[in-house]
Amino acid sequence: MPTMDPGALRAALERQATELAPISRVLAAAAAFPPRLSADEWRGEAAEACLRLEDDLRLALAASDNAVSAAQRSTRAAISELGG
Amino acid sequence: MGAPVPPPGPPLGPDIFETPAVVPHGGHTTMSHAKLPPDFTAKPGVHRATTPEMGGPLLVTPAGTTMVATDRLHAHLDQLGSLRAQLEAERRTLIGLEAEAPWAAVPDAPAAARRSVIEVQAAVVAVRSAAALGGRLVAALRSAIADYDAAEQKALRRADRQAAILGAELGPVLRALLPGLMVVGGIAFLGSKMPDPGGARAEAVRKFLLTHPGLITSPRFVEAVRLFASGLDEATSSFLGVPVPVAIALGATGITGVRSSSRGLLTVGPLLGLFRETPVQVERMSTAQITHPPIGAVQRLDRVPEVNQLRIEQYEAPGQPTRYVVYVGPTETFSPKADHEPWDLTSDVGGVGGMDVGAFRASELAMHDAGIRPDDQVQFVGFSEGGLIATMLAGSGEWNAKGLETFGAPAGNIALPDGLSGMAVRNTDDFIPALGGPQLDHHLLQVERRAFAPGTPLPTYHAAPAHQRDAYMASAAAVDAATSNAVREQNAALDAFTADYADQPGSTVTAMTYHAIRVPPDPPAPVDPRVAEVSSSGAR
Repeated sequence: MPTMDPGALRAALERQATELAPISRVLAAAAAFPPRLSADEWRGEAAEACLRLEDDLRLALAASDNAVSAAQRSTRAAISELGG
Repeated sequence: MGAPVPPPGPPLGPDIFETPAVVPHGGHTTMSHAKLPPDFTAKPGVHRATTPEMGGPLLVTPAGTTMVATDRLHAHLDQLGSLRAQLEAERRTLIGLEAEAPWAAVPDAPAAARRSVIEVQAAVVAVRSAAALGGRLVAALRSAIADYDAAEQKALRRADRQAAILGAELGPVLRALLPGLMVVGGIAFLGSKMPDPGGARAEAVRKFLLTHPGLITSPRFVEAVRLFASGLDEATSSFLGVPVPVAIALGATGITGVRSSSRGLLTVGPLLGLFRETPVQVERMSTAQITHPPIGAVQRLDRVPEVNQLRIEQYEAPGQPTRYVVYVGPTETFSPKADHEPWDLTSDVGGVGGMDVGAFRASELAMHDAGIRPDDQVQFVGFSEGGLIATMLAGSGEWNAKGLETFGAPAGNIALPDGLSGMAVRNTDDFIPALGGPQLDHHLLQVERRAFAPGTPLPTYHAAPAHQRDAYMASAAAVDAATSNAVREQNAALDAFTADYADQPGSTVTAMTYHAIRVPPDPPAPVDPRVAEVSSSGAR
């Protein structure tokens, strides 16, 4: 059965937390302000199709943000479980 | 929340780019100067009745393409492209984290650590989906723009073909009517020679045009001018006896065109004492050290001179080759009779015809006087006829042109070299650029904008308000406020050409202004319009 030194495990989890932080910032910003085409200056069938794709993109960005945030929370919980 | 699966590709039917009409177009009024932004710096005596808010959206055609879309749509594409690249980068990092997680197979690792592995895997899937959607959006938008452009180009070609056929069919009719036309023309000519105290006739025409500016200030009129200019060569060919199908074929192959029509006018004109080329002379009127280079399109357009038709700025920085910016002014007189002014209709018509006109030769004389050598880097800026001359200079191959920025120039038929920075700015309700025929060269970014959006009251200070400097100042302000990379990068490149030097310690910037005149050819000697002299009296 593989085992791992708690110190090394904690260090690896801290590296993961450090690397997730900027990804989380980028995804949170993208999810909060997703690109949105102005419907004022472009109309028609293709514009509507693009707007629908943008709705899907918005959902995908929110899902990405949620997944990374969850990973961050779990990583922090694991670090805290391992203690100082 | 699960990542959405990208749906099948959207149907990409024909779309329209338009601004909603608030009220029917064509109303006109005199605008209150009090409404103008205080930072407008139009030349003295130039009316200031146009603001950036009065115009339409900026339409952008990047260099090397014919695909036109609004600046905001280009900016949106830029944003999507950059988001997609960023998502791809984040996905790669997440995949790396997933691969490196050593606790996934460690039973005594905390449950939260093992859960984080599953969540990172979910994040990889979600980010991949978002990146794919971003890519599909970019492709869908590009495809929609291309479809729209293809439909637009098809409609333009159809209109051109109809104009060519109409022009060619009209030639024989005009020939048959020639006796009658000559009588009417003779009466009109005699009428023009009758005394007109106080210029009442000209004033009546001027007043009529001023009170009806909507007649010639609309994209529809501009399109009519473009079609007229396109069909004129076929009409002339068939008028001169070329069979109609041959006249159409000559036009279609490009053997005839706006250029040959202009040359024809310059061949016939001198028989009536009009459009007669002359030698030219330039004199340096001032030399001064300046401190600030222009930043942005508004400041560059503001430096385009009038009266003294040329301004040349010399940028010197220690250890660097000297750079120059040549600013070429607009038409000074619209008289078809070449008198003392080289910035006249003769240079306009001849320039469209690609001929060695007075304004072009005067510009080259001034450039020589300023010390510009063929290998020195030069940026050209011009407004109206100045834009035409600037384009001719940049395309002549005789100068090391690095940048070109024109406003309202009838220069679409002039071939330009690869690698030029800059842009051609045109107002879509300004008919002057259409006189140069269709835009055939695509080496330069094309930026278009309606100076007076539908529903905007037209000012009555000038018969062609969309061609005035303030209308182009408003368009230049829109260029400076553009958000797409296509426009921002070119604007920045033009800025950098001068700012890179001016910002260096020990640099100097010298501004020279020139006045050009036509000089009568010596009567007894054979006239060679290329022979001209330059006089430079230095700073005054």
